[in-house]
Amino acid sequence: MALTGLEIYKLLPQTNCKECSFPTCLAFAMKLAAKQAELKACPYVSEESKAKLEAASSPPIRLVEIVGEDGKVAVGNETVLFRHEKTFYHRPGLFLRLKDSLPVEEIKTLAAAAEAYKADYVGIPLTLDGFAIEAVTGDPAVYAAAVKAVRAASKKPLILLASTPELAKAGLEAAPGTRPLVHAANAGNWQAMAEVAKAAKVPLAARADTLDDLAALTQSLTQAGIEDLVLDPSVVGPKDSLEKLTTIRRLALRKNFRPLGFPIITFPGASGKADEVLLAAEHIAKYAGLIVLESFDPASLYGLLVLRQNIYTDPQKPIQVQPGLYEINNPKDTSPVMVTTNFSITYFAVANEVEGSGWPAWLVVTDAEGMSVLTAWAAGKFDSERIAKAVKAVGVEGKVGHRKVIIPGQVAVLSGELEGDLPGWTIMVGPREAVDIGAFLKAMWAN
Amino acid sequence: MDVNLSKQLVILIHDMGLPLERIVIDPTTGALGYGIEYGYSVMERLRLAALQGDSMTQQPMIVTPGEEGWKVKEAKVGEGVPAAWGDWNRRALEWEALTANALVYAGADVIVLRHPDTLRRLRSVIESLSAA
Repeated sequence: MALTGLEIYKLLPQTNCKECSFPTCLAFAMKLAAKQAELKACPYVSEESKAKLEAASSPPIRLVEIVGEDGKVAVGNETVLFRHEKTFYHRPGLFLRLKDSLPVEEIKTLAAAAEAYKADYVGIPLTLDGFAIEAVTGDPAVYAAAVKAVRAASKKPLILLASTPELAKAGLEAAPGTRPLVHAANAGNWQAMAEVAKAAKVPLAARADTLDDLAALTQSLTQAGIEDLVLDPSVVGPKDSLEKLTTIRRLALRKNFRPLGFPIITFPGASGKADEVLLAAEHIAKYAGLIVLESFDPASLYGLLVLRQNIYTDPQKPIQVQPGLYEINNPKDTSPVMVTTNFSITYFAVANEVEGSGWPAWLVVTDAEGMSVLTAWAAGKFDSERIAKAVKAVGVEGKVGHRKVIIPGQVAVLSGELEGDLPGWTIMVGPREAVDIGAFLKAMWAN
Repeated sequence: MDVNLSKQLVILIHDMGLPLERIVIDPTTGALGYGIEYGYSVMERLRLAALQGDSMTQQPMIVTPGEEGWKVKEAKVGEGVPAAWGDWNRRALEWEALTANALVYAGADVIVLRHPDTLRRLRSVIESLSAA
């Protein structure tokens, strides 16, 4: 929890020595509160005050990084309960569980297929984040072979699901040069697991059935010197998950409760009883940091990745699509030319309707700074000049034989001015709503 | 898809004489991948306002993920789409279910679906959430 300037002032020497370059200690405290100065500028602050101030300035949910040879997953450091309050920052990592009881070749095949997975959503590449390799057999040599098999197929970050220190050590030794998450320490094995994690300098997951036990466990681990912790509250279904994960997030943010101020790992399909996809979707929206899936299926993974992208979109910065010329349904030189803005929702609405109508068309997406048609028009970001510039810039003139351009019905008022800015073009006024595009083209476009 | 407009509409309808308990709010959400985050956050804000005592946001919310989910390319198109989208049949079902599921957590009260399979899956989620 951030301290106010006055609270910080009370912890400073209050001598006004000016050595920090500010005229008074109070002025320095105000700058500290605004994060415009650093505490180390004060040479006289006591160790005790320093510790207090540092504790107060560390984030309520710790940022934990899992690093592979290629890429890393950083989770935690969230600051709000609801995305509209600010935004969610670190998208939860989606991992695929692979068991060491499978033959090595099969592990390689599965890992390679998941490694190759790459989808595209409005120009954003979507992939699986890594693998969670589970020691089922209990044999350290078999486990090490499984970890090596995954690493032969993928360089993504790893989670080592190893229930004993020996297995964890075997897994870590098979993954040099990386920073996997070790899962998990529990009430029975935590001392030994902590030693393994500490020696390898890797993050450690703590698993317990109740939040009380979990908080006690993380406190023990913190005292043992482990800073990078991940919580496994062993959730089972939609209700249990929602209650536990919301409670953890609330305690961390609202009460600054340190023992639960860590990212959370979940296994939505582990019980075999829950609807894995829908439970994973809940965990994406409600507070998981790492999600381990039981199987790799693009049909559900794509939806989950898109959901994650949507939920973690900054509400203050709408997704924009790249301005330019978009081809829908393989347009020809006789196909209609339509204009819209680069606000993603606007683009989707229009593109989707045109596509659904079956009409081939050229869609000129104008740079309206990510605003919808009416908003952009009102803000002067979607005026005649900009539209004319976009139509000329995308070179649609060379692609069609006709000279007709359709503008959104909401900005019908621009048609006269646009005729002047686009000499030789006929300006047609389209429907106000995207849903009417199909009917409009049928009635107005002679093909 | 706007908190203030929704509230204004409830106020206007209420001013015309309709009792508040006979009004249901349709926040007009989009589908997964097509702006669902806007509707999602509008619904969360409406519900939070309702819980803080704003009687013009305390109406139940009705959503239509069935209609929205089946309208989009991910559900409708089986050919010429990226291989990463996976099996068409299951992807289409997931699209409706994931859209509906997100809205449940945003605070939906009445959920209009299309596919019996989605109905079964969502019912199971809702039963779990509302269990004692």
